[in-house]
Parts: sequence; C-alpha cells; structure tokens
Amino acid sequence: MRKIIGILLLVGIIATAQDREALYKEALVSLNEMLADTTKIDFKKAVMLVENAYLHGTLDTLAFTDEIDRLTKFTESIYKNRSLLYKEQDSLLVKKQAVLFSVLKDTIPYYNETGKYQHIPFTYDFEDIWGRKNWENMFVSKLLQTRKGNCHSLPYLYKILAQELGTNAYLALAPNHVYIKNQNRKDGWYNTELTSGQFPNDAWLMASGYIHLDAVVNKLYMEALSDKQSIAMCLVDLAEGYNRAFPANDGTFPLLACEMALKAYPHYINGRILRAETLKKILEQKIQQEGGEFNTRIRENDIYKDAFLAMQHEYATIHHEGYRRMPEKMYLKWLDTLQAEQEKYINKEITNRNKSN
Amino acid sequence: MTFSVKEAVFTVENAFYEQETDYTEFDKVIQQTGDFIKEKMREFGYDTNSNVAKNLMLFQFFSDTLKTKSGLTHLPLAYDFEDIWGKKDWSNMFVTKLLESGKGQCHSLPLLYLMLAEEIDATAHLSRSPNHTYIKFPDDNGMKWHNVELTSQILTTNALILQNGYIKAEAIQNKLYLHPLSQQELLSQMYTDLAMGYQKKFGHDRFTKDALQKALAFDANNITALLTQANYHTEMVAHVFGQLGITQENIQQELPKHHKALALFQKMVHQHITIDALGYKKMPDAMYQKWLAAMQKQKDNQQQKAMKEQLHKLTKPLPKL
Repeated sequence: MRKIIGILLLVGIIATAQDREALYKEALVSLNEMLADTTKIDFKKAVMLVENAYLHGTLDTLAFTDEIDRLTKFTESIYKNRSLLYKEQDSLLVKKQAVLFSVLKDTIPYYNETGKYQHIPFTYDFEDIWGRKNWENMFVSKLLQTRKGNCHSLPYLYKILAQELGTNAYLALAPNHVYIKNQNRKDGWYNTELTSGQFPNDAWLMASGYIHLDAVVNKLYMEALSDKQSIAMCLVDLAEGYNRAFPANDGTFPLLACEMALKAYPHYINGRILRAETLKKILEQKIQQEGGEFNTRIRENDIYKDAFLAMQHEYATIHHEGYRRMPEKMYLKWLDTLQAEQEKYINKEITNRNKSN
Repeated sequence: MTFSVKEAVFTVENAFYEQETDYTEFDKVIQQTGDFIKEKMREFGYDTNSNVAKNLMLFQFFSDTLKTKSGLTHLPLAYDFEDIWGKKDWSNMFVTKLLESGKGQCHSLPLLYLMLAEEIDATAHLSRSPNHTYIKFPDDNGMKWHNVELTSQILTTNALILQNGYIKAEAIQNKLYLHPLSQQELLSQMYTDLAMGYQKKFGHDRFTKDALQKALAFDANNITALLTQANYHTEMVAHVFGQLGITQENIQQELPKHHKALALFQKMVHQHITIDALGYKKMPDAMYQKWLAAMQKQKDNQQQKAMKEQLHKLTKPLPKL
C-alpha cells in the first residue's frame, strides 16, 4: 500500500515541472504500468523512456522511430527475397531471425531509385564498453546514430526490431553481458551473440569458467527472459541512469525502481545488486549524518543494526546463489575466447544454415 | 525415502537374468568389498568419520592398485571399450558383469560406487550428463561438491563436463544434468533401467509403459525415462501408421480420418517438444567417445594432482589445538 501511495505522489509531482527529475519519475510510472498490465508491454517505448529521461527529454523520438521503421522495412524486403536451407515447419520464423541477424551484422548491397547503396552492419564499440565514461554509450539511440554499440544496445536493438517484425527474441544474461536466445524446431534453444556476430553454444558461457554453475542452476544467468522480465531490466537501467544523472541522490528513487523490477523478476541479478548497493549507500548516508563513524552507539541502535544486517544478508544471498564479480579485462578476454576457440564454442549447425541463402 | 541401492540394482539385473542369480552371493561380495575398503581407510590413517575421506578411499578402490591383507593384489576397475551401450548384450551394462570381469562403463561403475558408498556409510550421489552418469559427493561442511569420473578415473570439474558442448543452460536449470540425484530420483532411474532391460528382451509393451510412468512419477524430468517413453510412442506410431497405410506422402489426407491414430501422433509430437523445451540435445555416439577420450587425457595432469592433494588434506583428522 505504501508503494502505491508513493507512486501516486510521484504522479502528483510530474504535473508541476518537466525537468530531468520529473522525466525520471514519469518513466518510472510508465514502466511500472507495463509490469502491472495497465498498459501494453512495449519494449521499444520502454527503451525510449529510459534514454529520454537521461537525455533531459532531448531524445529525438521521431528520428529514433523513423530509423527503427526503416530498418524494419529493410528487413522485411530482404525477408521476401531470401530462401533458407532450413526446411522444418517453422522455417518462416527461422528465416525472420536469420534475416534480422543479417541486417544487424552483415554488409548488404541494395538498390533504390537513386542508385546502388550498401547497408552497413552494426559493430562492437571497444571504447567504454560499460558506459563508465559516458552513460550514453549504453544507449540504442547512440547505436542508431553511430552504428557502434555494445552488449547492451545491440541485443536491445535486436529485440526492438523483432517486436516490430512481429516475432520473438529473448534477452538473456551472462555476467555484465546481454545476448539473444531463440528457439526453433530443429535445434531447440540457441544463442545469438551480437558483439561478435556469432552463434555460440552454451559451453562458451559455462565451460570457459566465467559463470558459476550455481548461478546457472538458480537462473541468475542464461534464462530466456520474458517480455515482462525485459521491462524489469529497463527499470533497473532507469535507476542506474538516475544514479549517474544525480550522483548525490538519497537512494529513494533507485530503491523504488529496484523494488518494482524485482517484483516482476525477483531473481534479476543486476536489480538485486543495485538494491544491495543502494541499501549500503542509504546506510552510509545515515551514518554520515550521525557524525560519520560506525561507532558503538550506532551499532547498538536497532534501526542501523537491522539495516546493516539486511544489507549483509542481501550480499551473502547473492554470493551464495553463484554471483561473482567480473572485471573488465576478464570480460574482454572471455569475449575473445569465442574467436580463439571457435572449434569448441561455435554452434556450427546454426552458423552454416544462416550463411546459406 | 530410503531404499538399498544394492537390493534395487540386484532386482533390476536379476529380472533380466530371469531370477537365475543368487542374492546371497551378490550381497557377500559387496559386503566383503566394503570391509576391505574400511580396513584400508584405517590402514591409510584416514578420518573414518569424514565423508571426503570415505569417498577418496572409494575413488582409490576404483582407480588404484591396492594390496589385500592376505597379500593379494586388487587391480583398478577398468573401462570396457567393448559394447559400451549394451547393444550386443544388455547385461554388459550390469554391475554383475562388472564384478565378474573387473570391467565396466559409465552405467555399471557409478552404480557399484553407490552400492559401496552405502556399505561404508558414505554420502554420494549419481549425476547425469549427456549419455553418461558419474558421481557427485559433498565435502564435510556441505559447502562444495566434488565430481568423480569413473570411466577415466579422474576427479572431474564442471567445466570439463560442460566442454562436451551438448549441455544447454535449460538442461541444467531443469535438473536434467549435473544435478546430484536424490534417493527418490535415483529410484526413478532404477525403474527406467528395469524398463530398458525389459525392452531389450521383449520390446516395448504395456510393461515398459507402466514402469516408465512410475519412473516419471518419482522424477518428472528424468531425461532417460522421457527419451525411452518418447521412443515407445514413436515405435507405436510407426506400427499404427504401417497398419493403416499412412505414409509421409498421404499423412495430410489420411491421418485426420483416424481419430485414435491422430491422438497418438499428437501425443508423440508433444513428448518430443517437451523434451526439447527442457533443453535436451542429442549427443552423437562419436562425439561422446571423443569427449571420453578428452577426459582420459586429463589423467595425471597438473590439475588432477592438485585436486587429489587437496582431497588428501581433507582426509586426515584435524590436529587438536
């Protein structure tokens, strides 16, 4: 009940000013409505809300939707002119995925009234892969403008385009990483890796030692995420953007966003980490107000003690379920193993089939 | 739920042998082996209360040459490269055969391990990977699992198992593979073994259907049982289609005319879809052999030595402070 009042209060604030803070609150409400089934789930809209809030409302929404429309039409036109070797009952669905992959990762020549052109693929940007220098590097809008993206924006774009094409694509997580999962009759579940444009098998994610087995068992990673779970991810993206927009915030907004996200997707690891970090931050701020020291007086105060124990419990649970932190260097090395050990980690069936058109 | 693995395995095998084998004899061999293992533990100075120590001793029984009290030599239990799927003779999969010949494969070796673990009060679980079973045991404070691979006699790692490339995340999440089977899940496997033995002898019929249903009641995600059940329905569909003259070419016109056949066909398709959705992927025999060979190469490497050393450290009683 308190949460609902909180949301109502937020709505009240929105009416007064259109500043960045208000945009964030507005986005929070809209995303939560999608999770509560009061509005239709729309991944494209969700992504635009998150990016627009960070950009002070300056996201060129027309240009964004135009480019998505153009890519969708382009994909559809190629879809009509391509045939696959795959001949199972679901071959048309499989073809859609293959063409969509092509549009993201291949150079494709095409003609229109004014002459011959080349469709340029979207590539991986090795600069600032986790948006530490500039948070906008995580954005789909940045990817659309520069044709360079990362493991966040590339799979998001894939999912947006799949939605526009009226087909499914499932986001899936690995440590500090997002990729695409799909399913077909012949191969069952398979992975699409957009950073390198390959189809790795699950051994790449599990056997190369970057994911603890328990984390797989507990579905922290490698689960094909539903549309609702994907919206929950957007909520946590929103909270992370908020923390960058307002570094000195008191933790209320990110905590609320995390709670909303975790209600729909309770085991979302990034949401749980952010919640734990936010709880830690709130506790630290309170201690600061009390004189800046975690002394006996504070330690024996039940409010602080409970807050501390709650936070500690959260971190312990996360660790117990298999989460381990992955440094950037290790991450890049892991991405590289796909190239270096193709024999072991590439799903040849999907790769060969997709290439034959 | 508790039951004796020794009794269960004997029951399954004895059924195949048409009640011709003697339990007293079987029981005696296992008991004596258990005693031998316990005696060796004391001789090596292992902590007889430690689960790690008990399992390490079991592992040594399977992989090392040991001397008996009377001066005889106990040889390691070898991997039998002949007929590894029991295609020529199903009883090649049996513990009875392993005890007679000293040779077994990924079916009989882990089962014998479990029987001996039962005999010396050790905790160990059966676990599956594609076309394969192996042993998992917990350490003494329940924090970590250790894996024992009996075909190549190594202490294996999850990574090594996952490298075979035929294990999907869904299969792990749905506990098809790499999951330590509970007693109930193990009993499910015993029913499956019983059904498979029957099928080899007499083919599929009502008996295999019932046994598999029982197996799946104990463990709905028992992949071996699910696959055997799907095979059962596939065979039945082939048979019914043959009787009705339904072929690839005329299936669209003919099948809708036969309601029962259509229902059966739908059931079969549904079973295959369920299996796929659980994350199952068929591992071809050749790939399995290749994977086994890769594990064989791990024997005596640096990592193996380090892992064994680590276990050895855990087998001695802690010095009193």
